[in-house]
Amino acid sequence: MNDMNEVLKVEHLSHVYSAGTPFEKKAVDDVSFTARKGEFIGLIGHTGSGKSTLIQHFNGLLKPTSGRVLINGEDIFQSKEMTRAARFAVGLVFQYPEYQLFEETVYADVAFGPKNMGLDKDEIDRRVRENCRIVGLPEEALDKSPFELSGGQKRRVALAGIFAMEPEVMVLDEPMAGLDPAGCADVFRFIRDYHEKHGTTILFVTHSMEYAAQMSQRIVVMDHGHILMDGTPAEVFARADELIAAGLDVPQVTRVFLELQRRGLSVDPSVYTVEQAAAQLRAMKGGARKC
Amino acid sequence: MLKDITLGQYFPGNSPIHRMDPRTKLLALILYIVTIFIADGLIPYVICAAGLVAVIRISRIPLKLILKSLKPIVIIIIFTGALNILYTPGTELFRLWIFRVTVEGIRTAITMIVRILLLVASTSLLTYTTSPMALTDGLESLLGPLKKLHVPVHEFSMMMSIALRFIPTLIEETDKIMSAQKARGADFESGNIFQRAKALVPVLVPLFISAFRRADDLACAMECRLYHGGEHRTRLHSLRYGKVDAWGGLTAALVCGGVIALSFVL
Repeated sequence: MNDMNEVLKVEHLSHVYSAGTPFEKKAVDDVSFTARKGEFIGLIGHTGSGKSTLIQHFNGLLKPTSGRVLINGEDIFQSKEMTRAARFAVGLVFQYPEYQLFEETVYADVAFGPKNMGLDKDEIDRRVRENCRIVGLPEEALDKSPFELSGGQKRRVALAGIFAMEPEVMVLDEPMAGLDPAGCADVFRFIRDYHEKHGTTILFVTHSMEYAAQMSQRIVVMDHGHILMDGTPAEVFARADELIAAGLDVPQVTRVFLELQRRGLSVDPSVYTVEQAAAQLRAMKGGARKC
Repeated sequence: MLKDITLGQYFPGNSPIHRMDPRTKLLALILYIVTIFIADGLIPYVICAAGLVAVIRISRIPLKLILKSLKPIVIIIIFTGALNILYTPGTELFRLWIFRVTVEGIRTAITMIVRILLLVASTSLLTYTTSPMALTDGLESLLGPLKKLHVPVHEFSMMMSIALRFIPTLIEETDKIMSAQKARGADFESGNIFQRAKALVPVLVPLFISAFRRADDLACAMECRLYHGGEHRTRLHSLRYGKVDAWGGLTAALVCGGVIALSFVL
């Protein structure tokens, strides 16, 4: 029986590139993974760990060499219609999504996805305006050419383009790449706002342990085409040595606490946000005063 | 789907053919092409085909790849074959509606088809065994004498290397943009030819923009490294003839010469 909460499910998925040539490469190797409704998942892994390949299976852009992808319990490759439906059920934001802008106006570009879904005009209009507001694009920007905008604003337009499709699952491949710290914080906020508003399942690919730690309820770590870890941030960052061995990092606070522990302080290094760290230090200080 | 394009697709290897100087390979190929157009009669063509198969064997390029490069010309082959059969005057064999099929027609048709097949197979063998960079270096060196006539040989070959260098990049970029637009529900696979052409706009606009951006970046990077074209420029990998070239060149010359001589004698 299928659990209704399992929006997206991947069973024993493998993908081999250029099979039968000297360039043959196994990018994803027997991965099984389930995303539940409303979850906020951080997917981390270093370059070439297979995460970008994996996420392109979620909406049927890549066909698995073996294994299945299920959306709400249905195999997305069982028919052409199902594959197309998967495109709309799973919104995929690629790296540097601003490079996909092409329309004459921001409005038309954001409307491209919803239009392809065959929605009526009023609904498209509602979605375009609402999602441009979520990403903080002013009303007057809607009639401008997307190519007149700054890099950060282009990124917002591209994000709004996927947001406006209101998918059940949204996958974002490094949505903060190449932005300045303020831009990163903005994008970070839009995604959270959107998540809160729609309760969409969000899968968030990132290099930054800080963002993964702050945002996610669950973290999945990929390494060499396999899933190395899958659990809450506390569980994952508690295994700091393994993460570092896989060429990854842990959040800076975690690293500081690991070093403190190494130098003989009795701290718990499974903290991963500054707030937790501060709370723990305050508790220690309070304890010390009592002595 | 775009990954299937074999143009300029170098198939790395370490066979004697791979190691041969690109100039030798280019000259041998030109000689071979001239030969297959002069050759006449069954035996010369058998020798030509056998020679090519032998070289393919030595290069260790899978035969499947060579056959794949022949796939796009199937239509041309059918067309040439049909036209030659139907329109060559001579001794009538039988009538096909208003056309007269002649012995000479069938003969020319077969010759033309064999020529086209050998031509395409041999040229794709060159691109499979020679990296695009080596190929342009070879061309530049062979066309060197034209510099005396103020032909900008170096500039042309630089343009060619850059173009070749960017083909895979642009293909990759196209793939990426197509995926991104497909993720937004763009449909490239259905509809009539006009709808399909229109569906490509969301791919072409970003592709052009990125191509211009790349060209700009590349020009800037070249200028930062003080690139200024032909005069006094030395190479990292200078071309040098070796033993393989002597043997390969000699064999090619002998076989091709033999075939041409045979065609005149027969």
